[in-house]
This record gives sequence, structure tokens and C-alpha cells, in this order.
Amino acid sequence: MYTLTHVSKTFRARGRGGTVTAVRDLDLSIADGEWLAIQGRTGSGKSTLLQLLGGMDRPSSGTVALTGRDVGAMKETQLTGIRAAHIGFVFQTFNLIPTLSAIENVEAALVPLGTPSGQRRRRAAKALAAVSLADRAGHLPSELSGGEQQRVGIARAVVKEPSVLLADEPTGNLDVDTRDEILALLEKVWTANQLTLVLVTHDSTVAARAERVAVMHEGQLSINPTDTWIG
Amino acid sequence: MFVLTYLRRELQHRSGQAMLVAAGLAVGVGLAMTTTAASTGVANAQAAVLRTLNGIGTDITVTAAASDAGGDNPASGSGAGATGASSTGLSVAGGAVLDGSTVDAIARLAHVAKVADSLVLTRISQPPRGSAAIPTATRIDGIDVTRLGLGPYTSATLRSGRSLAPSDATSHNAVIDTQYAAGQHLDVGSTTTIAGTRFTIVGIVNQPAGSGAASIYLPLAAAQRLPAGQHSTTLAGKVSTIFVSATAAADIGAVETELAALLPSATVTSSRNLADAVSGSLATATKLAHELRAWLTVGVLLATIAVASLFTLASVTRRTRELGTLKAIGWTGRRITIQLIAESAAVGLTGAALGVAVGYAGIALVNAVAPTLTATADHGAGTGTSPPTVAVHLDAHTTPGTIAAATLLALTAALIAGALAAWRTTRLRPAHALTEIE
Repeated sequence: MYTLTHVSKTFRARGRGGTVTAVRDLDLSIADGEWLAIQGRTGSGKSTLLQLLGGMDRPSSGTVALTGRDVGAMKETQLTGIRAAHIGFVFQTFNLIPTLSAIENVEAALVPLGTPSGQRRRRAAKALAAVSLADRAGHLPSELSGGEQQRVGIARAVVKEPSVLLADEPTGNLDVDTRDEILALLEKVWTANQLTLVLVTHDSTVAARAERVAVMHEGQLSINPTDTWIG
Repeated sequence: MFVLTYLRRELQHRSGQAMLVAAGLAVGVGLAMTTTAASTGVANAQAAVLRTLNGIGTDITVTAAASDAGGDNPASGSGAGATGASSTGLSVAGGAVLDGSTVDAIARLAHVAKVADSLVLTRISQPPRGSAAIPTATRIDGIDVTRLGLGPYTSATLRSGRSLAPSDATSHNAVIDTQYAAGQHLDVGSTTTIAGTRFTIVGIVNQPAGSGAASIYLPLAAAQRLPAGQHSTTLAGKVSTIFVSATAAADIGAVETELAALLPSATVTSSRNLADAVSGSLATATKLAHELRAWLTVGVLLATIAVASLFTLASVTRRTRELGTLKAIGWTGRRITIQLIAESAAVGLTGAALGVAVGYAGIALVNAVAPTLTATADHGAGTGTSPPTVAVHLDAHTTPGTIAAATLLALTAALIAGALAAWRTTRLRPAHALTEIE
């Protein structure tokens, strides 16, 4: 699915001058249907790597190839189209639209695909049911718990039947019990939809649930030699 | 449609801020409407004054100079008798006349569309000697009934009876002013005697109060036959004022030049000259309205756009992370721009609707508190007595065109604000937008 070759990402440091290198000469391959966890401390560059995989930012150098196509060379409209159809995102802070209900937040992911409104509503309802939130479809995010909001976030990410699911610290703002529920849900979604799942986390317990774990440190990636990738 | 659902939810959620922007737009629209209406009202008041003084459609008046060699200063009067009884005297207003054949010469000028003439007389009624009563002056206009359509008579509106017609050219019929009729207890069908000649009243007209217009209108020929005074001078074939209408507004200057050449000793006064000669609070208000209107309108427009832009930009900036999320899940910059512009348009329409209400309220306030304006024509329009003073109440009102323009103003301001905010936000890459702190 993904092939990253000598990828680096550098930011200008605001106010202090100079630059910050978030990703440093990174090589990585992610197979179709694989569940990869990228673990690292805060500031290690793992979220930046996830954004590069999702086409939300462009590498300063190197190549990020998604199914053989160089993401960094694409126009913004092409990237947006790829994200609309093929990539689902789950965010640490849920990032739900506060003025839309749960089902409308899920529908928002289908709007760019031009899905007719009736079909859109049915698919969104089905996605919410899959995350056990059918009875909260009409509630605003402010009326949902953290765990429920993240379920809505997952439903929004998978309703378009993407081929890739990128999750940035999906359990970072949740308590232990809710964390486990969300992880179980992600695993269920990964299995049922045969997705390629890349999950970023600082929590080794979360990372251990994945098929393969890569560790990010100061912008560089190393695959944990003790893990065995289950093909 | 999802756009409408999102729009409705967003405006409900941020109703306070949306109403603030709408209120800002409303003030702009209301001010634009009120200042335009007040300015139009002042302009209309001035036009009404000029119409009253000059009559509808008159561009130029020609009168004889007081020292005109061709002019006479015929004055008639029965004179106060030795017994000191009351007496009346008839004189030509302004004291000078022109030859009536001049009218035909003027009508043949290249840029003249219409011409009419009149003989303006003043009847002074002296009280008996020793009486405490004051003399009264009555203006009598002899009008050419074959050339109706110009002159002060055109400002009169018929109240009862009928107006003078070409068939009255040789008659002794008269039309009188409503106030004169009330004061003299006259009605349609009554008769009144002027310098020994009896006239039958065929109509009564309403005229603007205090305008100095005539109390009595007679056919010109009848007025010219009235006894002209102690001298043997007759008024036959004489007129005191000629009213001229040019073929186009742009030709007024040319007509003035032609008249000056034709009648070098006459006084030629255009509407513009008359407007310049008008003094009083109306003149002051007109000048003020002209000078302030343009600046106020531009200032209001810029302030409205600035207010709408600032508040909209602030509101959208606070939603940067939200809009970044939408980009992350596949919303194009164009779709987000449409969403933001739709929200701004909704606020703009709300502001426009409120603004129209504010505008009407402002106009009502102007009409309620505006003082009565007065205008005095320092260049007497041929009355010969003291310059007439016209009182007009400011009638500010708006038009569908003004409302449409003001609504467009509000909408444009809102759309510009929305477009600016959208442009700024959609330029950001999703990764950068998602790092914004709300």
C-alpha cells in the first residue's frame, strides 16, 4: 500500500529562527491490509509521519507513494480526492463538527463523494449502528462522552469504505476502559473491512495490539525487532 | 441539502455573533437609506420651490428690466378720494412690461420647445384714511390661455369647477385661489370685480401656501384691457413675464444666450439662477445634503464592509481546526468556500432585511423631527413686490431602487467578508489547520 523512500519533513521554527526536522530520512513499507502501530514519545515526529501518509502535508524531500503514486507530487485537488475516497482519519481530539449531530458528522464524510442524501443518511446510520451508537444519532458532540465521540469519529472514518485508516492517538484522551473499547472497535473495523490501519500512539499497550510496531525517535523510525509481523 | 443543514446549525450555534454582523450591516443599510431619502427629500423640496416660483417645466423666465426703454410703468388707481374713503389701485408687478410680440420671436428660437406669457398685476386695496387696517395686495395673473403648460399656473391643482381653457381667451372668466376664495367668500359661479370689470369665477385651485402665487387668474386679453393707470398708457399687447422651456436641459445655456441677444435689455433668469438666488434654510439644507451625501454614502459603505469582514474573519478563524478537519476528510477548498459564502449570504440577507426596517424608521424620524424649511427667491420672479417666501416640509421617502441598492450593498459586504475569510482558511494545508488552537 505505502512505500516511503528517504522521506524527510522540516519545519521553520516560529519566532526563534532555524528549522525543526520532524521526520528524518525515513524509509518504510506498509502492506495492504496490515495493522501498523507507530509508537513514540511526544515530539518524536509520529503525527507528522501520519499526516504525510494521509496527504495532509507534503514531505520536504523523499517520496511517499500510495499504491505506486507519489503523493507529494500530486496537486491539492488530487490529494483531497484521494482523502475523500480512500483514506479515513481518526483524531486524538475527535474533531467532530460541534454544530452537527452524530449522524450528520458521519454524513459529512460522504458529502465530497456526491452521495445522494437518502443513501448518505442510510449509510451513516449503518456506520453508527456498527459502532453501537444508533440510539445517539441525533445527539450533538457536546451531548456525548469522550468514548462516544471517538466512536462517531471512527464511524465517520469508515463510512466511506476506505482502503486506509489512519488513527492519530485515538485513545489519547480516553480512560483505560474506554481505551480498550475503542481499540476493540478499531480491531473489529480493521478485520471486517480489510483495511490498512496505521495507528500512532505513545502507549505501548495500545501499540502491542497491532500486527507490527515501529518506534519513532527524533524523526527516525525503527521496526521493533522483537515483534513478529503476522502476514 | 447538507450545505443548508450545516448553515442553519452554524448560524443557530453562533447566533449572537451572526446577529452582531447582521446588525452592523443593518446600520449601514439603514444609514444609506436614510441619508439618500433625506437628500432626495431636500432635492424634491427645492424642485417644488422652483416649480412654485417658476411653474412646472419652466427653464427660463424673461422679464423687463425696470429701466427698459420698451417698458412702461403703468400704474392705475382710483386714488384715495378727498373724503378719505378706501381705494384700490392696479399696477403692473415689477413696474415694466414687454411687447407681446416678443413671445412669437422667442418661440422661433432654435432651442426653444415651449413658450408662454403672462401679465402680472398687483391690486393694492387702501383702507380709509385714519383706519387702523393695513393695505392688502392681491396678485392677479393674466395668463395666455392658448399657451398653457408653463408658468406658475401649472403648479395649481383644481379643487372645484374647471380650469381656464383656450376657449376663455376673450372671456371674462376667472380662476381663483382657495385661500382667496375663502377670504372673499367666493365660490364657483360667483362674480368678482376688478378695476370696474366683472369676472365670473369658473374654478378654484389649490396652490402651495405662502408661495406668492396669484390669487386670481384671468385670460391675458382681459387683464390687458384693465385700466392701466393715471396715464393714457394701455396694457394692450403687453406682458410682464415670458416663460420659456428649452428642448433639452443641455440647451438651456444656448437659449439664455439667444434670449440675451434677442432682448439685450431684458432680465433673463434660468432655473439654475433661481436656485442660486434662493436663500433660507432650504438652501442651506440643499447645500449640506449635496456635500455630505457622497461622503456619507461612501463612508457608510466602507464601514459596513469593514465591520462585516472583521467579524466574519474572526468567526471563521475560530473555526480553522473544524474547517481543517473537513479538508482532512475530503472537502475541497471550493466546497468549504461555498459553505462559508452561503453562511455570509444568510447573514447579509438578514442584515439587509433589518437594515430596510432601520431605514424606514430613520426616514420616519427625519420626517417627524425635520423642521419646516423656508426658501426665499432673492431674485423676485416677476412679482414686483417683496420676494416670495415658500415654506416646505421635508418629505423624505425612499424608492424601490434605493431599497434594492441598499440590500445589494449589505449582501455584497457580507459576500466579500465571507470570500476573504474562505480564501484565508482554504489556503492552509489540513495539517496546519488542524494544529490551530480554537
